[in-house]
Amino acid sequence: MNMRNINPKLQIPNPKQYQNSNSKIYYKFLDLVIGICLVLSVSILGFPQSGFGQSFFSMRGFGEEVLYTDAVSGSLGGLVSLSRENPAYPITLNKTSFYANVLSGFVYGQDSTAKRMIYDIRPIMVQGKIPLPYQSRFGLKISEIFNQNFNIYSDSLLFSGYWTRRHIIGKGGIYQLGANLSKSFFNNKLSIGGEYLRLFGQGLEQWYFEVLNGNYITLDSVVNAYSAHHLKFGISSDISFIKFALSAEDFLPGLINCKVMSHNSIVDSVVGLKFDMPYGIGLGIIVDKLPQTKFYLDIFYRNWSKATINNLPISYVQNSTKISLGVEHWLTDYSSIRVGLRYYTTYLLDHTNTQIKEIALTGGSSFMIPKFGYLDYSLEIIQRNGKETKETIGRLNLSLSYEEIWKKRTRRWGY
Amino acid sequence: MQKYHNIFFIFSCLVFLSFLTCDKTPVGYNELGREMTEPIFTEFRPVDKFCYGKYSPLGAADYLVLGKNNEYESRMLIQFPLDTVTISGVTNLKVVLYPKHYNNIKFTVYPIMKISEWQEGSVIWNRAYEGQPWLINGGDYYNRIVARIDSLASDSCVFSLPITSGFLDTLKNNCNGLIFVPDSGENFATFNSRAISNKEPKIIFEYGTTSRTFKASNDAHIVNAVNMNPNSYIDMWLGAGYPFRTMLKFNVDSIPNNVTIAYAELVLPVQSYYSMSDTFDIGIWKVLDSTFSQQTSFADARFAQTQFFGATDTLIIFDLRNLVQNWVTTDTNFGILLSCFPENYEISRVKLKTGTFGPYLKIGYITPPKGRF
Repeated sequence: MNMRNINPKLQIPNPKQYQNSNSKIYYKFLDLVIGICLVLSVSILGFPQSGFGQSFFSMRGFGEEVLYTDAVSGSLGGLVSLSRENPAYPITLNKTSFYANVLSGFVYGQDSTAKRMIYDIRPIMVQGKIPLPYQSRFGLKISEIFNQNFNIYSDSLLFSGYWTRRHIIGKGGIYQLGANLSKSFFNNKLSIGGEYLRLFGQGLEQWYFEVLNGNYITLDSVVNAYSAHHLKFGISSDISFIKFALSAEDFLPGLINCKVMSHNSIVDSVVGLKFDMPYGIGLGIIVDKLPQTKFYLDIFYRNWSKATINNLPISYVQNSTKISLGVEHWLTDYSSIRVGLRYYTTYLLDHTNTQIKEIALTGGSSFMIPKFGYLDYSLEIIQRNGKETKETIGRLNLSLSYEEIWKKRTRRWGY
Repeated sequence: MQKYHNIFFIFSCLVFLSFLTCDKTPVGYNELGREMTEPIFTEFRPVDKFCYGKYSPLGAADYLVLGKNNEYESRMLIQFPLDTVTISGVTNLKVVLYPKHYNNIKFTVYPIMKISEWQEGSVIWNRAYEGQPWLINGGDYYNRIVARIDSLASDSCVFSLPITSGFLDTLKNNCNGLIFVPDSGENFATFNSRAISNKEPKIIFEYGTTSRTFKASNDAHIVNAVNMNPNSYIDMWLGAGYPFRTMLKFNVDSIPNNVTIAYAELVLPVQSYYSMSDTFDIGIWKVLDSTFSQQTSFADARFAQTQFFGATDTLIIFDLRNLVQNWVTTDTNFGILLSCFPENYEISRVKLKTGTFGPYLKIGYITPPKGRF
């Protein structure tokens, strides 16, 4: 399909050949590892006072929708149907593969009066797939689907001679755990797959109220626990130099349990709030005409206007559409560079009822790790705008892929 | 070299970005989209109050107080286990005390009457133990001076007692220890009680070259407040040694019971104070009865305490958020009791201002947040 897994040129390399022909890659790789260590060390040690948060819009609706999770997709503009989000991907799988993703990013938010930066780092997806007989494969996955991390302050306000401020921190989100099964047909020209995912997760909002005279801080909490079922279906094809993928997904009605906790007791709770998230459909096309370069187009649409909570339409959502364009150029058999562009009208309306939109410029690359797999990274510069609040996001996505062929053991009779 | 330069550049950028994240500007707050009410701050004055002073058993104190001034008098009682002592052949008899706070006081020592048994845990100025008053308030002692001390050393106080056979016999068989009575003066000194190991009061019997030492088996001090009778319904005094207690009740029924108390400061303006030390602690206890009197019961554990610096503090402030939250949520507001803490720690007293300038409780509250959906 789109990436190395189906590139017929790609074989497990001879390490000697790799060393001789790509020694510079080692240095690049070393630089990257040092860079990652720096990022992680600063992330872990350097931000005790900073706010964790992914978006200044995450407190609305179900939070920030996570349409794609891996760095390869991210670097090509954010692919959905042409990525592991599609259960029919990849068309062929002759290796047992594991993938893990970490997402980190700085979000620089601004509105008419103020500017602020928040920071986030979190694991976002872990997936494993094994090949099965009859050109089929089976996979397990856990990933994030909605992120509810946020961190906002109110203005300091004076009431009756007392300066007060609210500080609200959101943590958690909605995750999905599931299994997928797919099979290739017509000599690996077509693949069909399905996936069942159980949605679960919890969003915790900590509402701090600060009375600055005397430094008193009071904490109330809002906890939302989610459960639902998510079904996905996908088709991938590799018939000609134009390859395509289709994906469709829907949700079975789910439940939300809400409780508001104040002074160590539950002051308000709603159990079994029904919610119904809408279906989504996606189309991806790869043009693979040039020998070392591929072009990607990926469109994903979700019919959010059909979303309901307690059978009532949700007022602050609107249908969302994501369009991604990407180009991938293979420098060597084992290393490629990717660039992409994304235009995304998100499902959320901001507080002025303006749909939140984003434009992203993306890029990334892959590094082979001999005898292990690949390290992919993507860098995205995203401009996300509501009417008043605007976000500029610098996002780094790291994917570690482990790929290995099952070793066949030959059994000899008599020994 | 270029590689390290690049690493340094990346690291510098990250550190710079990390500084930006410390900002607390209200970006995105408007996007919250939740219904929120403004905080409300209100001030409450006591609707009910009661003040009283009382004798308090001080036998459990770590330090024994001795001295007197115009307002207080404190005496010490010490008993030694002398059942096994041999009184013949005594060449010297010494009492050793270890001062904690050294003040040059004068005092006289008398033997406590045999008929007036006293108990360390319950002895006070007007009773030897529970239900048994002294014959004379302040302790019953034989009017026989066994020692008179005119000056104290800072590290230890050693003085001799008579070694006449009559006194030794009295000491062993016909008295209940010794009472230390301060002479006129304006000072107080404190001594380590038997609770402080290696520094407890001792009596040493010397027999030529040998000696026997006995550590105190009971000790206490008894305090009397002279001419200090607060008006129960006007004054607001707090004290230790001779404890003064003040009970206050604030009517917070006007606060809805579903709110979060974000601010609750009890402010006690100070009119005057007296203390043997620079600082002392003031505590708050929850009152358990609905009416105020000397018999009103209160919780064993104090709810809050704060340190009072006499030289600088003109206000005593308590954070009562949890207590007020409890009042508001459970409707069990019987008030609070204020006193010095611990009540057997030295001698101290605070007089609070009353009336318009008196105590008040400032409360700020908010309604809990709305849910996400």
